[in-house]
Amino acid sequence: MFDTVLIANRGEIALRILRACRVLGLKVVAVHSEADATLRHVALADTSLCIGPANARDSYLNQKMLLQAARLTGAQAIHPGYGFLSESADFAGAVEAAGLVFIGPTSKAIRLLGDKISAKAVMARAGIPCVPGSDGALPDDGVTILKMAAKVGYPLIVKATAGGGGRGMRIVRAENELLQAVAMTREEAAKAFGNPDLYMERFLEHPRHVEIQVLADSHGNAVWLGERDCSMQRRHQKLIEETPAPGIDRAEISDLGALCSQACREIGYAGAGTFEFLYEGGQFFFIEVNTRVQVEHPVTEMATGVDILVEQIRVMQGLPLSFTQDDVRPRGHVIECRINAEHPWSFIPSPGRVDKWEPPAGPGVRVDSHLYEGYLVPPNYDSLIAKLVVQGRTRDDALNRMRAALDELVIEGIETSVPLHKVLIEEPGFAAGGVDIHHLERWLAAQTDEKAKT
Amino acid sequence: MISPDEIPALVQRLAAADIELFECNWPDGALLLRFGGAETGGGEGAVVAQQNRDDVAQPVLKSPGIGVLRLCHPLGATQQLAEGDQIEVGQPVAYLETGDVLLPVHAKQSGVMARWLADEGDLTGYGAPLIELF
Repeated sequence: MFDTVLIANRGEIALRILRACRVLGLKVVAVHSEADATLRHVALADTSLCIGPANARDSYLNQKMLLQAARLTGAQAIHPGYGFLSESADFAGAVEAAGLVFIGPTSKAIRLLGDKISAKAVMARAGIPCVPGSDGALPDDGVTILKMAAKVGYPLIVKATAGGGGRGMRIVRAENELLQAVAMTREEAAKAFGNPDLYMERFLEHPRHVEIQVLADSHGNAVWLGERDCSMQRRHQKLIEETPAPGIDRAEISDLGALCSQACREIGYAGAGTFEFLYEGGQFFFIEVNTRVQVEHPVTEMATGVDILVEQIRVMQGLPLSFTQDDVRPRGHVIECRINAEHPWSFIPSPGRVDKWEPPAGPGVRVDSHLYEGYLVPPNYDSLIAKLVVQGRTRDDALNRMRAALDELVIEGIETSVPLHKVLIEEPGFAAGGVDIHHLERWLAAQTDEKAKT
Repeated sequence: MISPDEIPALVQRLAAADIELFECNWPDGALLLRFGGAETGGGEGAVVAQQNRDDVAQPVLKSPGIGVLRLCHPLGATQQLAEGDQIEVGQPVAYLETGDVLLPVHAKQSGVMARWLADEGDLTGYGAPLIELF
């Protein structure tokens, strides 16, 4: 069983991982880039080591260097956090091959679930509802493609198997547009991803984003910890998350959650994971499994009282989950606002020195952040600087708590998304609950139009 | 002024934004980036020029990698450098050990050794100062 964990990440999640390691009495190795020597978790770690320049490719994404750092510092396990190498099957495999523990699922499971086509096939077999689609790569023959499309139904979306994050996809609204769209997307996919494979599925016009958090151990136990509604997004980046998902029948969610934990048992999944779904017209449609701990995991932690990071690490030590499904009783309503170092309206990144930092506190308020006064937010990485999470008895209570917490929060020296969040929690659509994934962008566009008129 | 390490990220961002020319002046230097080729995203098409106005060479040799610091070859093939020794570019000045792998640290510039800035057996990170030159 390992006693030293190397944290292959930075910022707030590195600090979060360090805290979980401390709960378990584990030693911590912090590796960092030259731009990150002043991070909070680096100061708190038992051992710290600069592994490369600011450029992530030569530091946090440098697999050889990370493995060498583990060897040098005696770390027997590597926690990848989220982003960077967290969902790299190759890195997980290299860690395994080096005789170390990758804190996440096996490289095999990451590979299986990382490929959209194989993931969907696995989910369909496990009885998880999927978007009607081509169930595999599209053939070359146009007639067959047209036949398949008729079954899927319009509007549909043609996607590159290797694509993601909004790249390598095209919406088709009518049959006569289909073959040209397939040809163009195939060419782009070959160029951009080096893989011309495409698939297609029904395009949902106004879906919500609802995801199920799961935890599974290597003893055949798997639980689901409730859902998160992450529909408030801009350019596929989540901005506000909450649980429970407003207005969705609890029985529907329970059925879905049970299917997800069952799927974990069937494929032998161990670790933390998230099953992402689109929700439209009273139905859930599987999108993908995130085989890592997610940014928004504190939402579920607050609602359930389960320390997801601690459980995830324990599972990788070979221990069983410390609780059962019956122990999972989410309480109240939880909302999270992601605070980014960026201009609240233009979204232009705003790195720089944090002159003042006064986080809110009090009952039902949690702040996950690596900030401190004088900290220099470097321009090289993701702009997330804090997660403000609040819990209330009801959604209204939670919104009131969020309002007060946002008012209490002081960050000076850099631009942040705090002013945006203050407006968003008052915005009638979000305040009513149950908006779709395009709501925020529609609202932002309307604000821009409004300004142009005046 | 921007450090050389920050340039690749800047190049990547500007290349993605389809910018042709970027010039920035600081009190102590200037940066000129010209994006020529059809390449985007990788920054291969960029011509980078940066100069330090004060033109003071860094009088410190830094670690190019990570490892346990060895001031001389463990098998005694080299002698540990001492104050006053002449150091030439490319000369091995120390070694970084990881397990059974030993990698030499080659001098990036020449000069006369002033003093060691690190100790034998130190866990050494990227960019750690090793030797001060006169």
